[in-house]
Amino acid sequence: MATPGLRAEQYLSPETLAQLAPFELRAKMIADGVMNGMHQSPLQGMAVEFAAHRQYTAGDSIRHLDWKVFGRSDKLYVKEYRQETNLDVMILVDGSASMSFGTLGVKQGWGGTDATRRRGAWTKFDHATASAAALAFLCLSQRDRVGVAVGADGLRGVVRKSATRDQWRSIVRCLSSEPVEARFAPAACINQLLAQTSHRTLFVILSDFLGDPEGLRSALARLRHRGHDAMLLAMLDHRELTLDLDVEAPFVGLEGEDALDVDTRTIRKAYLDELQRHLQLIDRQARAFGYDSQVFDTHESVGPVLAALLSRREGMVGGGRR
Amino acid sequence: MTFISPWLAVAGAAAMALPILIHLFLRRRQKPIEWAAMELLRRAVQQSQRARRVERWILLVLRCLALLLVGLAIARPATVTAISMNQPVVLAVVLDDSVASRVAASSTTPGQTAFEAARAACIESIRALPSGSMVHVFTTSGSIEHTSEAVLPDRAVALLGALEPTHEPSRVRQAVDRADDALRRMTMPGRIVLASSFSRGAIDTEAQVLPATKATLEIRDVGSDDTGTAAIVSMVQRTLGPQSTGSITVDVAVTRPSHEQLRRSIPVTVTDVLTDRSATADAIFIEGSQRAVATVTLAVDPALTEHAWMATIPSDRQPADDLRAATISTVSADPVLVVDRERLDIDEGSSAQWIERALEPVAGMGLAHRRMDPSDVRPGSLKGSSSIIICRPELLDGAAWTECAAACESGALVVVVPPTDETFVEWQVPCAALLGPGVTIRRDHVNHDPPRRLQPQQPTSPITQLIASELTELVAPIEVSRSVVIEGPSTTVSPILLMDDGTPMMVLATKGRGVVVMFATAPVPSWSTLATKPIFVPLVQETIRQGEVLLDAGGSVIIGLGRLPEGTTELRPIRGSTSQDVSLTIDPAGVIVGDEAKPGIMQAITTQNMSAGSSRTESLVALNVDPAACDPQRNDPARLAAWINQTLTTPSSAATATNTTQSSTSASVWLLVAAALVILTETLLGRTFSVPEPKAT
Repeated sequence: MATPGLRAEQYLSPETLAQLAPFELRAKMIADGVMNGMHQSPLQGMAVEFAAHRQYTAGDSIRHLDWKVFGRSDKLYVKEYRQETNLDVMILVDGSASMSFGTLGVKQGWGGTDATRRRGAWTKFDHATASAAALAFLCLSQRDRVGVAVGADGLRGVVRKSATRDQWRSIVRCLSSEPVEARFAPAACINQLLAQTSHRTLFVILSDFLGDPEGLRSALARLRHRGHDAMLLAMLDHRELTLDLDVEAPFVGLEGEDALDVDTRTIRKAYLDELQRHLQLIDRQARAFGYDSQVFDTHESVGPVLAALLSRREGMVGGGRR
Repeated sequence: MTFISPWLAVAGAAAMALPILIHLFLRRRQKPIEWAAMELLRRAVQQSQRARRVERWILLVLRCLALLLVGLAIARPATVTAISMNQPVVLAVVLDDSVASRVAASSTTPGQTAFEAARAACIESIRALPSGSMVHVFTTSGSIEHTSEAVLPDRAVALLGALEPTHEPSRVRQAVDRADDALRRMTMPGRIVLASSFSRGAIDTEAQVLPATKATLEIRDVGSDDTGTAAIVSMVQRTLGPQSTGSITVDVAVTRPSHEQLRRSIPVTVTDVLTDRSATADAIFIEGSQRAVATVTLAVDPALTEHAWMATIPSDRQPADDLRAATISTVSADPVLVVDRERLDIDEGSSAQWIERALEPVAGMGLAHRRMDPSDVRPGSLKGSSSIIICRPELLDGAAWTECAAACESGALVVVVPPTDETFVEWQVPCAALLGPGVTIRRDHVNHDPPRRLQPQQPTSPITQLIASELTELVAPIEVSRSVVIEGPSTTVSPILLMDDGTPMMVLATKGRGVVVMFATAPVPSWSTLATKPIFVPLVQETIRQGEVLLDAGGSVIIGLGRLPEGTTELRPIRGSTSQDVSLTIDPAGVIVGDEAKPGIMQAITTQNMSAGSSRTESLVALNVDPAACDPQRNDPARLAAWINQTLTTPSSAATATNTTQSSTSASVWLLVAAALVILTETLLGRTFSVPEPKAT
């Protein structure tokens, strides 16, 4: 929990998070920061949204009768909610090798995932797991059912959706123990998850989305086809976003791509144009299916971005866009 | 096209590889960078790399080109147009006939001076000319020049054959200027041949830069790095005057630079300038030493009252007849005058007796002397005496002191010894005046108990220079019990010997053309042990000999631009400008009338109006020889090469049948301009090509 007198954002900076060795603590800190960031709508659950009143008809459960309205008007009205049951949330974290990229240095002894320890830096995977854990914590605190999956070329670790007490611990264990390797195949992962999903679910996909956009589009199409909701959280390192390097050197891919001789000074503009185009494409694909997307800079605090995203989403839901 | 410095052109071309090597080196050094967004990077590279690669090649080529152009510019290209061997040309030969050209040309041609080698080089160039060619002859001394019209080659060879080296300093720049001017007036293609030893005397590579010539300049360097550079530093007469022995013995000290290890001995010739008698002895260098002394004994004519000795070393060891290095010593027939009055009432002997004993010839060394009573010192009585030792200054009256001062002013050595007797006569005042302004001698002498000793490290003085190496040992046993205190500004009096408390025991002062030496203690046992110690004889004799060397009086030699002896009315060349058969006329002020002073050793004719009629004396002077102009040392080879590169328009090897039609200087300038343009273009293109820094998204 946030220490009184300190702004939550201070705790939510990647440098701070990286120093928080217990994974749970890190997630709680983010969640707390997110709460503080959403002053006007605390505990606005994603599952208990009031939709409208309608007249009572025979067969309706009297549990949802609005007795206040009956007291005032002598008429029976039933309160209708957007979802009858708790929201199911499935968080899919990209565990591919490209997620092990990071340029924000961390010190030895600080907490983190397998990727952090291997690369000695705050990686995209770290940022994704921190964000995922925070989201899961938020959902569980609202009694929503939440599950987590780490996937690359296929699902690697899955924690089924649940709202039980032990769920949080299972999620944290899964996020902190999975290795970071191979390439991300979103369609395959989504397929596997869909096979285990029966209820309408909000899929939160945390990835750098640097793979084939077509694969992502295919995965999103399947989700849409099944009537699920989705949020795409693109985790990108600050250096990936700016290419603030002045070197002429061979660049090697983390997922086994061939080395490429690059003079960053000469291609910076083209690279940034390409990146912009790519991100716009991802965003367009998400919006095409009615989904939301957000880019996370791994050098920036998780909380404010997450809070802004949730706030925006609430606005979208409240505005009846769905 | 050819290059004055082809190796610089090669270096410029080689420098082209520099950016390429840097490029490759930097490429290899970069460590691989891991990157996640490889696909984006690949697409970006595909998009921009191709264009960028072309741009980089353009920049690389421009950089290489800039280096190449700079290299070519430094190499000074000369666009030469080969002309037919039969096409006549105008050749301007500039022959170094300065005093510095008297050095030996090369160790391989013994006896040949640089002048002779340079002349041979000029003649060789003339003989190689195609028929119909014309020749201008110039000399660096300006002794001969034909600016009005060129002469035929045969005539030019004859002109060169008649030339002799002069004693003039080298004026290379002016000579080349004149040659270039002469060629500019010619319609035929022309070139200049400059032949010289390029010693430091011939050309100062640091100070002189030749003007850019329109015509091709060909350098003929006939100098040799092996040229000896020994020099005579002093000449001291050791024996008594020639009247007594019929011969003189002189010690000639010679130095050599430390790097000259080949010659162990250098022959030294001493010549009586007036009679041309000469004798030679070797100065033998001990290994590692730079100084040696040759002892030369020369028969002289006792009938002559005046002699002038000139020491020389061979021309391959120094500039022949180099007036700078040669030391000329004249010997007066007059013996040393000891001013004293006989005293019979003392046991320990007087100062004069001790001094006369020190002057006595022992083992062939000694100085003639005669006694004079102080009362006999009257106006004119000291005339003709070059050395006067005053042992009883308290007996001199005002007129005697005036005469002493006059003798000193006109060029005599006066040595004063303090009186040993108690006296109330204030001899200190006129004696101090004789030493110079600001000098005082305390009225009362000082008794030292215990006796004072002399400092082990004595100051450097010309009087003690020959015994300097043994001075510490010689002064050690001296004890001074009594002394007078001499005080004065260091600009007036300089110490010769110092006591351990820093007060002088012997001082030196110059007065007019003469020299005054004063002892602070008397050489008698009651005053000091000086007279009984081994130092006394050499000290007294050296005081006389070296003191006379210091004299700047008639009968001595003025080296360089010195003053003429008072009353000089005529100068007759003896050595040096021997080709001149005209005498120079001197006006009453001592200024040479008419023509500028000619260099060389001259016989100065001095006419003085004496009471009994006019008397005519002769003395020797050396005039107008700039020591720097005689410097026989070779210029530093690297510096000389740089100077030649800077000076030349074409290499000497390519110049015999070619003629430049375009100045290399202008070509170099154009190349530099082109290089600057290339660099500018490279900079602009580099900026255009480079991607501006993007803001972080």
